[in-house]
Amino acid sequence: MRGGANGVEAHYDDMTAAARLFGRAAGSTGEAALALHGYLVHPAVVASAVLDPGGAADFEARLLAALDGPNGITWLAARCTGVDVGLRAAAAAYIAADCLDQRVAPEVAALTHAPAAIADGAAALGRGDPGVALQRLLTDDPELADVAMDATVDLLSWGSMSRGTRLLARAFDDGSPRVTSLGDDSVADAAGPPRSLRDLLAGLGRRDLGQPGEIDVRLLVGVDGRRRVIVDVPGTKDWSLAGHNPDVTSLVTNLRAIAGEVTTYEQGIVEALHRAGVRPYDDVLLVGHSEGGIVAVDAARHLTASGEFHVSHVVTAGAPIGLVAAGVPSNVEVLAIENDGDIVPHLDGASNPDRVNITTATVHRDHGAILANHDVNVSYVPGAADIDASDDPSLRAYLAGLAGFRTAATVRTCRYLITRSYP
Amino acid sequence: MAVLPDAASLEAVARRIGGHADDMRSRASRLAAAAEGVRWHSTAAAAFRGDVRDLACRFRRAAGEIDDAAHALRKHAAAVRRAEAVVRAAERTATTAIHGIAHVLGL
Repeated sequence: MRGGANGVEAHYDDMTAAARLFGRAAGSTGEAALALHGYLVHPAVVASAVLDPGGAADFEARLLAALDGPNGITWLAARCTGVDVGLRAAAAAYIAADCLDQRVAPEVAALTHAPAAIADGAAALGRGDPGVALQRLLTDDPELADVAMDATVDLLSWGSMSRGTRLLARAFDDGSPRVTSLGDDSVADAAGPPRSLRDLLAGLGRRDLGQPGEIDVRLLVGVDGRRRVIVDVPGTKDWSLAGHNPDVTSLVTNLRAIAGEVTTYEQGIVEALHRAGVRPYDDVLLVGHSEGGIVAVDAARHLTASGEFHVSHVVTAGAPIGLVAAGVPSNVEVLAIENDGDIVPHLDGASNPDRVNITTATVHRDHGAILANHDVNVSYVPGAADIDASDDPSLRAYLAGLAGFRTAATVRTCRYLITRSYP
Repeated sequence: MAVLPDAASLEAVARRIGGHADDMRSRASRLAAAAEGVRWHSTAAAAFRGDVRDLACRFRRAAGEIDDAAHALRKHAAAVRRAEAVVRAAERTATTAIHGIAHVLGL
């Protein structure tokens, strides 16, 4: 291709070839990170620490810094993936912008199904801003993220997203939960119990503004005297992969949760339910944003299997639950709210299952920016109001099922802080 | 002596870690060369090449840190080897003493 938008010259075969190289570099670097993490617990290293503890500690500290420190090997692998995805998106943007009628590499062709998004992206590229271009592309058509993630996973030769995240998660210690009571949220309680889906999401949004790892357990008592429980689970607040990170919302939880594993975040939620006095037969509604949504779905699955608590409903907002929702039992009703300009629900590279008890509602709250489109207060609270007003039969049925949670007489909100601790 | 840590294994691990550092440097050079070779010319392309140059620098810096870790492990292996020699000498002394005592006692 020659003479694209604003006189640029771009050979997309070169661009995709370079993208593949960066993809392979991401895979090799990720594998190197895993292998090098393995040396930290190599039997010879562990056994030798008895004879020279200072030397062993010095080696481990240096290797850990090289791996997980700022700009460490793990970060470099992720950065290579970012360049790979960005180059592919840029190539796709040029192709559509110039309306070229010629054969393209298959992976680029897969990205060209969104002309409007690509035209916007190309315009941003023409202005010389690749970051804005990619953001515009992804927010206009978040399904591009599914394609990109598939391509990345394929390049990493991990076979599947779930297996890949499980492999990566294995390298990072999730610690064990420490749960601290933060007292009641009397300000929230003064507003009264939730009356709508919007109110439910606003409660989650309120908790999202708290400190990392802060959740709440809302104890509702109905006019019939029956108790129901809402748990608000906010999403990622720390994107580092640093080892021994006390913040349970960090990326380590994402990696484990998306692979369906029990996380320290989830264990902390279960402990908070016990501390709040929730009984095994109380109906529980888990409401989670982003990573919190994945954790909520995993918790519903695990708690139903164990019988420890009765999770009847889950509401997720902007959460990539395509992989984990497949294991949700049929007696748990899930509503997945996805903003159509939000790329995060697509980050697992899988669509939500089409099942009677799993309803996916797409809302339209595009702000043209990745963070705003994903924000619970900016996009998902208004989106929930749209669902309240919807006459879609599936959504009406789901909201009818939530009646017990929307008609309570009283509410008491108990706040807890979950952190990771390490021996 | 099988229960003692194996300094040779530690040195082998250090060599493998050093190999990863070499790989990182080669990868940095390949990525930088690939970025320069892409036929793409625009403001965005210039920004992309700048990003890749920065990425290559970070790869080389990380390679240096891995080399430091490998060097620390080699130092640790040397310390283990010295400790091993002390333990072996002590073992020889103890064995000689036991044999001497057994000889005196006529065992």
